[in-house]
Amino acid sequence: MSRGYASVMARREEILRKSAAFDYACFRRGKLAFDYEAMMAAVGYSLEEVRAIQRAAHVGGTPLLELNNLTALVRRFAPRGKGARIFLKDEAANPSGSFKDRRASLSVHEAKRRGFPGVAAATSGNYGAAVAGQAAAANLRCIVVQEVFDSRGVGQPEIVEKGRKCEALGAEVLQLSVGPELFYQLLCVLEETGYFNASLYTPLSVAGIETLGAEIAEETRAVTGRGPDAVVVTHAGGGNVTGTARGLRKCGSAATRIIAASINLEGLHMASDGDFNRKSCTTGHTGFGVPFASWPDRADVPMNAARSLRYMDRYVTVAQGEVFWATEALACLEGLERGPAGNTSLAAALALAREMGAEETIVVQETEYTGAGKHPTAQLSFARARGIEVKLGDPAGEVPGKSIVIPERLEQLRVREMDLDHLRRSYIKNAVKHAGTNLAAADIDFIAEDIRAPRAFVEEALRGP
Amino acid sequence: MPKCSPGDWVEISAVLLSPAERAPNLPADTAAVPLTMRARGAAVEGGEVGQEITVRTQAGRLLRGTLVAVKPSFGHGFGECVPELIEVRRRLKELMAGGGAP
Repeated sequence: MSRGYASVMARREEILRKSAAFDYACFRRGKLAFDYEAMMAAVGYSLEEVRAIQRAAHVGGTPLLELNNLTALVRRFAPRGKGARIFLKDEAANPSGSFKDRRASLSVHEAKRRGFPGVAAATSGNYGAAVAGQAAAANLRCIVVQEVFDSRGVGQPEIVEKGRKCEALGAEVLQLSVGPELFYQLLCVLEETGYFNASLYTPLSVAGIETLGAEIAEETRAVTGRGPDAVVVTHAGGGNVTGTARGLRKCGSAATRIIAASINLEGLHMASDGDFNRKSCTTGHTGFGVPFASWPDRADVPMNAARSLRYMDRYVTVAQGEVFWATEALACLEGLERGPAGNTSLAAALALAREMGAEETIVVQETEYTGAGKHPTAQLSFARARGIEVKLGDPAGEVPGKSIVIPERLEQLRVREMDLDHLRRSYIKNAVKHAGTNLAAADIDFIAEDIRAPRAFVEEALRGP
Repeated sequence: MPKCSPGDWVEISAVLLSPAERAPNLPADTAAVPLTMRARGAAVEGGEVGQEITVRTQAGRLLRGTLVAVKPSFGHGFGECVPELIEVRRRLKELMAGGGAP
């Protein structure tokens, strides 16, 4: 069989079908429309069953920590009566050091149950280590495909560390140079090995995160007597927002505001060899966050279970410098040394808490582990060596790829609001690109539901300017 | 050139797609270079850096590529000193102690 790019991509439906162990076709209701809730229900595990699977895999049940010093600091410089209580869900306590274990545990459990000889994942992130660790404990083989280095062979230190971890956990690691052909390589691996595709975008993978939302709901209620007023969730591919929101709702926290947060990387091209090492974060940024919000169905599955526009109440961005500042603050004021990528939501929460009442609660939904390559000094040294200016100042002046500006004062920590209606209109434009302007009623209803807008909004956008 | 014996832990590299074979619609800088791969495994046969060898990976697969390193180490660490972070830390501790400007 030909290994040529076009040839392999032409076989992708078949390859993904064999490696998915999930029938998507039965949920289709139109060119675009499909029954999302029925698809999610077809996971076949209740929330309690997912919890049991995760418990057996040593996953979940992580501590919810109240950040007393950071709350006090925000309050001191906030208007009177403002400054919400800030809580942190310490997902770094999971076996491989991030919430990704919640996703991986279900994928691996399913692969084992179905008799697959191994699991494969295409990821440059913590998900690789999560899949590798879960596979190791389940006695399954594992291959992780990562995008690591540019054409000069320079690897992003954070990704090099993740590769090291996958190898330490017993996986085969394929490290690729920059390019979207990461997906093509995953297809080659799946075709050759017959492994299960532990995709980030299956109903299973998203269901795995629902327990995180459920725990936040229950644990916040146990401490404060009521559910959280806001939960800040780092947003990239959309699974994090989707799963957390679904879990919160399943546990009675329908009123909790879901605030998605991404690092702003506007201006950097995600497929560019030259731009690759000019960013100091490998996920949780707008390079994934915006495309996946405005068109979820661009993933390695026929119907993406991660559909963030269904659930986000707000979408905010922060600067890279603000995240490094938040990482430092968490370490020296709370005694918690955690990875910068996992602190994207913390940076946003520190700014958002200032706007909220002192009786309210805001929960930062995750942390990740830190170490060589991931640490702020490693990332900032690397950036500096690439000619990026690293300085203290107003992060509003940060230009992704050219500078990293770390706030000098707490007041300089701000969030930038993304226009959700603009994202919704982008989604509709993408829908038209895929299915034309003459959409059936079922498709229009589906879009309205998927972007959480009135039908009239969709119809008006379809009519055009 | 460094040599490896059968069974040695090594790193290989290979070209997966030449520039002409790559995906369509890539940015110009990416389109101009090949898609390359690096992997680590146990050398099946002996060889010298620069030669083609076969490795057995941790998933038990056989991969072929150019030997690039024998007993490869990890080069990533904690980087150089970043005085800006130390200054942030100093200011934060000062703020917490009741002093300093917000």
